[in-house]
Amino acid sequence: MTLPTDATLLAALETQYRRLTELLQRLEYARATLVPPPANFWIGAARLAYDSGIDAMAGTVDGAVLAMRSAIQFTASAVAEVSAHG
Amino acid sequence: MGDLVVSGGATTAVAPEELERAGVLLRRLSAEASSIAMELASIDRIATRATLREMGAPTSALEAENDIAQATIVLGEVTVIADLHGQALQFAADGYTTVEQFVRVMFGSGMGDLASAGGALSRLGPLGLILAGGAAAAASNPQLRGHPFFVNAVRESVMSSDDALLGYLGVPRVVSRALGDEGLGLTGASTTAAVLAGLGGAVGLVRNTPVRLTAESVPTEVRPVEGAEGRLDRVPTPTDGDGAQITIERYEYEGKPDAFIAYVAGTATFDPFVTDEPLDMESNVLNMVDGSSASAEALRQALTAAGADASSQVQLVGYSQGGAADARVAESGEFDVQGILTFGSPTGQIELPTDIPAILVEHDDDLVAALGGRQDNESALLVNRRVYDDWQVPTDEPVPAHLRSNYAETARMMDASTGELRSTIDALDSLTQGATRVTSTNYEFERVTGSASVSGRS
Repeated sequence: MTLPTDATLLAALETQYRRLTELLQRLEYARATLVPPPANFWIGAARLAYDSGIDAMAGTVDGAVLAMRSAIQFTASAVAEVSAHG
Repeated sequence: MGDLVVSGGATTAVAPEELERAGVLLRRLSAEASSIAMELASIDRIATRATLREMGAPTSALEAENDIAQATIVLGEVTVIADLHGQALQFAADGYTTVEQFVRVMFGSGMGDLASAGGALSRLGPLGLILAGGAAAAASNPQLRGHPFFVNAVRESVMSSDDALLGYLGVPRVVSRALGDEGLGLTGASTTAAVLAGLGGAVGLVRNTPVRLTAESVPTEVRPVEGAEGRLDRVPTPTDGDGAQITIERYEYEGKPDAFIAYVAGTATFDPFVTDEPLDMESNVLNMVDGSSASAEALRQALTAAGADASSQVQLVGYSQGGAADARVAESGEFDVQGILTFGSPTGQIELPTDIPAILVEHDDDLVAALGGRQDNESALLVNRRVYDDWQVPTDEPVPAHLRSNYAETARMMDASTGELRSTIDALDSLTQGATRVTSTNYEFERVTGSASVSGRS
């Protein structure tokens, strides 16, 4: 039998799952469209600095994407476990 | 002494609008990362860690909380870094735009406007701009002649020389701008050089004469050429009116047609008046117009004499004017040119094939290379180097950075390089691989101005 606390928890986790999924989509879209491509319009040492800076930033955004994906997976697992109580 | 700067591919210059566009993207990324981070924080408040424990949530729910916190922190970093990068790019774009506008106004459009305004100064416009090298040579300060800022100014002046010329001829600035590089591209540095050639012809300074082969050496067997320095080393060095101007190597293979590498010397005489030398000042001017110069014609004849035809694979190497003659022959499509390597050559406005290995070596402080105008061969690999530091230019040479010995030093640096430059040199070397026999022949030409004949092999 599902306890009242389980129902509240389940609702909270399901909301979290849905909103995290929406935010992940936004972040992935931002990663694809807002991180500038490598500078093919530039030469010299400044270009190397620019490209490495952009690479590092893209890597940081990827880190956020991975953390959010992991959060979604754990939330899905939690939803499954709590649902199993019922 | 400066390092090599290698550039090429699509474009080579800093493009302020691209910087600005990247800056806008980064600031939008910063704003979006900030917004998502705030949303994540609000999700975190739906079920806090304490609440989850109270409700007996599974461990996975707590793990999700850790990841949400981690994502929030990382997005905070993205917010700050992207904003800083965006601001820096905007700053850089503004700075480049300001400098670019300054230089263009001072040395580009300003010259054309000056000429359009008429008056005595405007009459110096075409001559001074067409023969920017002459103007520079007249400058009393060799340190200035060798300064990259001055050299770049000359390059810009060459690009705007058509505006100055049209202004001199009374064409309104608005019309010349529409016709020129900034508009339809119907006029340009070649227009100016063509008019100079016509004017020079009228006073006997510039003539377009045929050339003929006067001496051809006995072919000698040589080792296949290797690298940039090896190629420059095989470019002949004729003195004024004497010696071969062109060397052709013939590469023979088992089971496939022969290939040829042509090495073309630089200007052999700077005498502005009538001489028999094909690699003279007239050819320098005509190479800026089209492929009709005596130096380009000599190259065609040498290749033909060596046995090359339209289907033969040909590689072209040249120093100074020799590189411009190479570029004109490559542009013409008369031979199957499979590669080009030029040192200090005014090739900026000669359209090279885009699908061949091409390396154009230009010292930043070399006035001669700058006379070719802006280097528009964007698919070629450009190798730049500043030879002398500020105000350290020797005073005993007219254009020290143009010296062949300085280009030999650059060639050594090129051979020791890695990456795209090295692989392009390797692509040039690939033509020589598998050759079973390599022979080298020297060719000497003269202009046809009187009676002369081929003197035979020497």
